[in-house]
Amino acid sequence: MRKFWIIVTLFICELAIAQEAAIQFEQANQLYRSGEYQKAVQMFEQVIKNGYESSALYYNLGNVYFKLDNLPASILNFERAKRLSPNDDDINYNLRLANLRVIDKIEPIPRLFIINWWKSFVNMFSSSEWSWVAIIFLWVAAICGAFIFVLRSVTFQRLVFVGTVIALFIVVLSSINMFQRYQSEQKEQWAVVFSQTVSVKSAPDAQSTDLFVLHEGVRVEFLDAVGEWRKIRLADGKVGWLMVEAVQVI
Amino acid sequence: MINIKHNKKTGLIFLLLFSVVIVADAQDATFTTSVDRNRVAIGEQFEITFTLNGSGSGSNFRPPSFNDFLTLSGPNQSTNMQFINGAMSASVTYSYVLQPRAEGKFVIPPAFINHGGKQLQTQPITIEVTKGAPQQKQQSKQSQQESDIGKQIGDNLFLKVVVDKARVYQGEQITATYKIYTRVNVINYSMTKVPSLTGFWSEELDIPKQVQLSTEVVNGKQYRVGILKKAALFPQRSGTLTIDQMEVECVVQVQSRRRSNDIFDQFFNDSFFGNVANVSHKVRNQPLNITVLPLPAADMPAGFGGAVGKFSMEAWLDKRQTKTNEPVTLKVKISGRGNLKLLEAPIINVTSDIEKYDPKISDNVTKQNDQIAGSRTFEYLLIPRHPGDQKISSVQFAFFDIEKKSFVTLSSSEFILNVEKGSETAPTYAVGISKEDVKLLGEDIRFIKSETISLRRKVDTFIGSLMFFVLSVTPILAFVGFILYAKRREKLQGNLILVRNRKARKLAHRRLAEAKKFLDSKKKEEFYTEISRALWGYVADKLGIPPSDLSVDFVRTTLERRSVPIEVINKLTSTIEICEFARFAPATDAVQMDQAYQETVELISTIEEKL
Repeated sequence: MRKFWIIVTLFICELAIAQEAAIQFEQANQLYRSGEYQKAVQMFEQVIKNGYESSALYYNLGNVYFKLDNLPASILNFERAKRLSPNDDDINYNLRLANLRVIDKIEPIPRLFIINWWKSFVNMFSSSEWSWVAIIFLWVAAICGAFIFVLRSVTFQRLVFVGTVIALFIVVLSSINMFQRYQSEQKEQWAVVFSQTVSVKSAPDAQSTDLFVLHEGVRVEFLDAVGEWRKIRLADGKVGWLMVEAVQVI
Repeated sequence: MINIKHNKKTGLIFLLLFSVVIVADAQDATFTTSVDRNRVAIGEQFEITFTLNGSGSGSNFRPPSFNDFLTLSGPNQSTNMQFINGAMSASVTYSYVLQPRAEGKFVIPPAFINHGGKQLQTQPITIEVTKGAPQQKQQSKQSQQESDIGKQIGDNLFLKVVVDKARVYQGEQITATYKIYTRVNVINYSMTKVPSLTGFWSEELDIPKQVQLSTEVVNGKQYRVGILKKAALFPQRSGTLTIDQMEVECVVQVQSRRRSNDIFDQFFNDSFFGNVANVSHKVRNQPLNITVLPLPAADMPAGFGGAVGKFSMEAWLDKRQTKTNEPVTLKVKISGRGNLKLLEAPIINVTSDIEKYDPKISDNVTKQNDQIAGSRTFEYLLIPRHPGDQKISSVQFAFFDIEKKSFVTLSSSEFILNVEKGSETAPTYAVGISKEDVKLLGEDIRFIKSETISLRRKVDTFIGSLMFFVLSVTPILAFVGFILYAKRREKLQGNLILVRNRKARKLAHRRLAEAKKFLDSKKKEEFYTEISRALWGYVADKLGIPPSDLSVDFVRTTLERRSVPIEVINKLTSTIEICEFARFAPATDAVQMDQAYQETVELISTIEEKL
């Protein structure tokens, strides 16, 4: 019984802190509206420091940085927002706008349309949303399955059986999507270049030859790591090594 | 060759002698052509003149084509106007200096000009081109005298070219000195042919304006020696190169031995009066061959641009800090001895963020001690386009060290240029953005979101949480539990009707399979027993009728109540009757048995559907 009360107390504390974060978030938005971007940045960063996140939070912070002309930070936060809500229109629009200001123009390798469809289907929900879909349909399947044994009419039994199969199919599909999204959300495999200029090397060694130069705001994908060096790939398929200090993980 | 200058009259007579005057067919104007001579040797020049005499000037002068000749100069136009007794006469001349290309007789076609509404034309003119120098034949008398004087001057006057070394590397400096050696009185001299020095890059070295004479002994004779020309030569290719001839025409005072009929001349022609004459005498030096060694190609560094000598390099940026779009200058100063003026600009490697322009080259060359030395400065204008610490890799300069006889590569340190963001408002965008994107650039970002609901703890991911597991495992467990529970309840509560109902079809099928066996083995009695049991059993199980209540009538009413069609019920009762009857019938009718079996199967599936 004592344990129960401890849990309840913790839960209430949790709620109170969450309440505070929400208030801070609201205050930061107010600062943004009044044009006090520098203060707004501090407030948003405080919310993040307290361990909270949401796509709206990152999106708003990205907006503030954009207004402050801090391009890489703006892109980083838009990318973080996008990671949580990949299909959000506002986020994608602002990210595109910010990317236009990036010096390097990187043409992404075109993907097969079917892969794009699948990607945007997977990105429809976040991993937890997908997990909810999976759980709900798992319940539906279980209840339908039970009904097969309860119902006496063969017709109804068949109907319920078909329902069970469909529900189970949805469970499998959403579980796959859940895992895919979960991976892309959890793995630290994307980063944004923060150095104004950085020479990408051919090997994890400062003496190796320069392959190309990147400027702030470019998104790179991590492929490998050796000490402080990261092997990166650009959207257009170029591969090279750079120091981890030049980038920030999304 | 000796050429005595006679008085000018002779030349004038020659000119008149050889000139061809053609009067053009015109009343008041004449258009004529003339050449200064019509017998020329290959290599000699002559002048052709077209003259228009008359009032006013002509227009649209069309010269003939001088295909057989080389046009050295022309057309040179000159106008001469005169007023005689109030009438103006003008003459316009167009002259060309030509040189024949080949031996033979050539006709220069007429020239045309428009004058006073008429077209005037000259006569064609013939030029004979001979192999040798034609003057010599005509001037045989003089040539006699020339050779006379030539003998007299002999080796008392000659020209010589001296080099400091005859075997050099490609690009190494040679100092060539043209000296005149004389034991006669040279009053004046002029260079008539300057050496072309093919294959060399030459730089004239300073010599005193007034020829300074020194004495030198050659073959036991003492000569006065004057330096006429001094040049620093840099061979441009390997192999044997020739320092070719220079020709100098000297005016020499010689003792005249000419016998004259003039009594005064005879009288004065003795040593006492020193009857001297000024003769011009051409002297040429012997060509000199220089062996030029190629640079060792095997060791040649990548950035070698042909520099040979002894150099040092300095490279510096005028400022280490700048703003975007504000230029900086990278200066590379190469100083030392060697072919400075042939130095190629070192290649500067900058990132694509920096715009680089071609270098401005300034030279500071001295020629002290006959050495080309000094410095050459390359100024590279660099304009950083993007902020950041921009790296300029070290400047490399390779040359062939003439003292060590090997290649040396000098390199500067690396430069880091700190570029800050410039103040200008318009940022520079990379090329290659679409029209649509350009439009978007002007747009503002979308406004912030104010939803707070989605705010959650970063560490809390729903997946993998306790809640997640509970929610996903519960339905599976509940389902399994439910099945187990249902089965147990069936057993405990003896809900046999339900069990029978569920198992009715299965049981009936089992009985039918048994009947099928009997059908195949033609056991009539057992077959019908099994069939009727299957039917009765199925109906009883399905309708939940206890065996004690089982009768045709009861089954009928129950089926009717469950809204099974009357035909089906009729068929069921008739089949049961047939079975009862056939069991005890004497004959074994295989067809009837088969029919009974089929009907039973049909009946069971029909009732299964209807219930």
